[in-house]
Amino acid sequence: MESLPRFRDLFVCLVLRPMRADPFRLFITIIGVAVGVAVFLSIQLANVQTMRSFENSVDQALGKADAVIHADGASFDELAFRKLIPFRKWIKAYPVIEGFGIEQASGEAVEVLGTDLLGDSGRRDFFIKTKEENLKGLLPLILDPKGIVLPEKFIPGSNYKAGETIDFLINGKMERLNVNAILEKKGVARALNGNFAIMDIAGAQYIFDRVGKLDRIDIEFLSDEAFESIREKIMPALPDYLRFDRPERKTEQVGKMLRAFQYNLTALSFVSLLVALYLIYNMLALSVVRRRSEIGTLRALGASPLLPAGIFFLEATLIGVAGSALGVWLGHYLAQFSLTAVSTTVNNLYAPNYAEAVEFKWDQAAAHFIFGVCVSAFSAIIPAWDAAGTAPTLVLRRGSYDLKIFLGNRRLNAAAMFVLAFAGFCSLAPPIDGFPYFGFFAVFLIILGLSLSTPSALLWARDHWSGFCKRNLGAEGLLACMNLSQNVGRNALAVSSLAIAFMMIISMSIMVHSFRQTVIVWLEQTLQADLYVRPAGGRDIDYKAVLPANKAEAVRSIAGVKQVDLFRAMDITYNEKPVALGSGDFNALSRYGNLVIKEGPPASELAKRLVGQNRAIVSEAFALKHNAHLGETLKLDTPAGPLSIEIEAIYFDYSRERGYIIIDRQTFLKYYQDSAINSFVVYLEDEKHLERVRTEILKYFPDQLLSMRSNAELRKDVIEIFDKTFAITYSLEVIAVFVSALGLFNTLISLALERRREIGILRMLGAFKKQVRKVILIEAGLLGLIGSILGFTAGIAVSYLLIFVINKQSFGWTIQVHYPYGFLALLALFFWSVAISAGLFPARLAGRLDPKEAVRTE
Amino acid sequence: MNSADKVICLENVFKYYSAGDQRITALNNVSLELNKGDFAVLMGPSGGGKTTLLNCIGGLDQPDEGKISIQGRSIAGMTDKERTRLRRTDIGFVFQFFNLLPTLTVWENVELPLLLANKAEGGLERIRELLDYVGLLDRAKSFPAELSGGQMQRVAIARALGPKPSAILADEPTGNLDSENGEKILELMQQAALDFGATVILATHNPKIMEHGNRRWEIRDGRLSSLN
Repeated sequence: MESLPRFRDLFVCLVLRPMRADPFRLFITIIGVAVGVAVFLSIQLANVQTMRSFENSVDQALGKADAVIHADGASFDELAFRKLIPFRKWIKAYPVIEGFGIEQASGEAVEVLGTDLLGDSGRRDFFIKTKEENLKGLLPLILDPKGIVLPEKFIPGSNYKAGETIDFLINGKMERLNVNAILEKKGVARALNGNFAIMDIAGAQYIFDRVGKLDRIDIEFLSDEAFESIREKIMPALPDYLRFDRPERKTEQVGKMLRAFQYNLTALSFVSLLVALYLIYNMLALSVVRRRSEIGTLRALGASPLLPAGIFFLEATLIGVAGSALGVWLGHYLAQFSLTAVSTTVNNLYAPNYAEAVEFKWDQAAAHFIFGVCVSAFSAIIPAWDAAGTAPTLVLRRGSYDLKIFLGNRRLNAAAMFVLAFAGFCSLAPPIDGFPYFGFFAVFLIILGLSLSTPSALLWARDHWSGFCKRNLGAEGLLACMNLSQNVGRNALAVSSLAIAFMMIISMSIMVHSFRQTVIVWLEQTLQADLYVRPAGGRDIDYKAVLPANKAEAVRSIAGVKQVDLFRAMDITYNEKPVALGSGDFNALSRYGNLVIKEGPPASELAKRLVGQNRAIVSEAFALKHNAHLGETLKLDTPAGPLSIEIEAIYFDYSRERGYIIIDRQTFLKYYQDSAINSFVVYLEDEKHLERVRTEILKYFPDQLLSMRSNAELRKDVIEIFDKTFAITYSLEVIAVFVSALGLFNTLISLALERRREIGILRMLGAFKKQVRKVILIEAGLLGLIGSILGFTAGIAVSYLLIFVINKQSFGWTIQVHYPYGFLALLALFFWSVAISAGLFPARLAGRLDPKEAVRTE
Repeated sequence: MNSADKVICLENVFKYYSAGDQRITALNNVSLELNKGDFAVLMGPSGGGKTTLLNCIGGLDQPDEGKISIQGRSIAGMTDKERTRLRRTDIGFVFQFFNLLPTLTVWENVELPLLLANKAEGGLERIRELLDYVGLLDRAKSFPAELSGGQMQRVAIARALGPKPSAILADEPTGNLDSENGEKILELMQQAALDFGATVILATHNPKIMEHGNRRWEIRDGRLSSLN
């Protein structure tokens, strides 16, 4: 305990006081760390929240079932429920209808769950507050076919009370429902976000046009018997196409699907943290340089090497503590923006997701806070090592450190070459469990190789550009260029961090642009119909919203209509992975439409081979995920029994990441016995009939609202969704650029301060202030240029990795490479401007240095 | 001696510094005149005012009272830009710690003042001549870190001579060298003053160096006294 005051005094004298000496740079460094931690935390929170929204989704949270019986995306005959009666000794069964409607006042999509309200309430952990407290209040719940129960915390801004009515757009129809009760904010209702409602099963069957059908049956085990044992007992009594699964299976599948996307975001957000790490390193490295004589004196006075090392570790830790605390605070605000962006992407690409508000608890942030502090302490390793290795004799002999310059390091170059070659090798490796681990590892290796080769790149630039700079920019150009090899460690880190940020933005731009162009070309080739029709409300990939087929077929009789193709799809499971099963009229497709075929006969010949046959075409994503090939047989369980279908063609598709199996409509009707359709497309004899046919179609669906989009409108919508989907990646890149610009700014200030002696010499030799400023600005430009070139080169390599390895293995999409030349040129220009701008203040600072003070060492 | 030969002229120069609430007189009524080719040695202890005097002559500092003129031009009232231009054309510096730029080669260090003054063209021969003069032409492509202390100081002398200055200000040029190398450097500077017609002011605390000067002063507590 006696040593405590001694440590406190040393801490104040050697750590706190020197930190206070440079408040501006301390502030910038803390801000850099805070932004890095905030971005990383916000993406993690958004990812967790998105996953939690699936875990807590209405069907999961309201049904604390031990098992689920379902028909893999399709509805099934409610007779199956009766077949469970003999098993009452072992299980309790609860029928469920799932659907969604668009609440008209807010326009929000609301999941609606139809269940046995009275029978379920005890088991499902929810509490109903009715209009009247006695039995009279409960009766409307089961007797009113249009009754609905809303949670107390419903859509934000709404305030429905029992006894009021609420309007929903369901399946394209306007439905006015009676709010018969409110779910108290207890139990599961508290865990959900509000975008859900409950109906009695009979009312739900009626509203969702599923009278006599069920979407699933939740099973509760009455004994401790094992899952498998119960399944073996029950399954023989049920139709073959029904599945008996664990309830968490769906969440696990969604989790697997989202994994690649979430890893991508995490990797992107980590870039900011990486750059922040560099900021701390930079600040400490400068601190070591400034305090070297002080360190030498301490060592001469008998301090062990641990003392100077400890000083810098403590300094980094303090910065880490302040930056991480600020970062956590910032991050929990930023998380809301990240969540909105992540939800948009997940909604567009994967599955409906209603994550709305980030549930943030401060204890959640503890791990990120500690991580931020550890990363900060880690960044002190090299400066601390440097400080510990400072020999007192060498330091006290003035000038001996000033002459150090980097003359190249063969071992570093060899390591860079090896790492880059290894990255190439990793890019050839196959995915593990459908996940591109080696692809991500290859990106990491490229970043490492880039960092290792930066010192040599600086040296190369110095040797090859100095003549050019001298000829064209005079003494300032020569000095700036030759300075590249001084303080090479810090220069290299500044350039690396710039290059990494640039690499990410370049590679993502090329990938996204290539993807976008590929989708545009694909849309042009694939979308041949003139009009696309589906029930209004909801999203294109929700297959629960249906239209009657007979009415759509009648559209064929409208004058000017050449053909109508009916489409029906459902989300099913194949090989324990989610897949979309679709059906369409191949006669119409072969004659009027088109598909871009990867393998197999052209679209015009598909009708001959598929109509009425047990054959299918599959999307490229399906083929890759399931390793399926032409001629192979797929086995599906259908309501009419097992279906074996042969793969006739593999086609390009970019609409669903999970992949499609498409069969002819006749085959679908035969096996799935469900004539309803999700949408239909109309081919016109002449485009000029478009508006008239639109009006005519509406007459065929008098009681339904339709979404009708022309070819051009649909394309526009698809591209809009595409752009929204990738918005978050751009945001993360912009933040990484911001932090790296902060890094460059910090570096240039360091260099200006560190070189005050040289700047003084220059001024003594007759350099004007303007010339000194020009040296720093040219140097900023050179560092930015080298960073851009390295980042650009690595960005091209990483874009190929993203397109041909990571995306291909994660999503199964073939993307044609397209370079956004104009955008890349603008980006390079912007990046370079950022680099030069980062040099403006340091240049002013250098210009203001007093020459006699700067060389006052004589 | 006509007035055109007067290179450096100081008349009743005072320079004050503040240290806390104390005013320190760094230069106290200093007057001197140096002619073309003079090799002046200024001796004094640390803190005596040697560096302050050189800074004032070099235009790095302004006197608080009195007049300083170089080649007949008064420094007083010159803007920073004008004083910079003066250093660029008329004054060369040689320092104790050589102050070569570590990232530039020997050649480039010598070339630097010419480049700054935009006089690089036609300067090639001059640089070659100067490097040959100081005996380091064969080390033109070396970096300072690859040279000995004596060699570095030779480069610094060549650099100072580059723009053909009328005055060279040397602050303890042998302070970081052994006596043998120190002697060689002094001889080189003496010879250079003769060969290139430059006036040299050398500040030192070493009395042995006095004998090299044709003009000698001592400066102590800011007061200058002639030892001739």
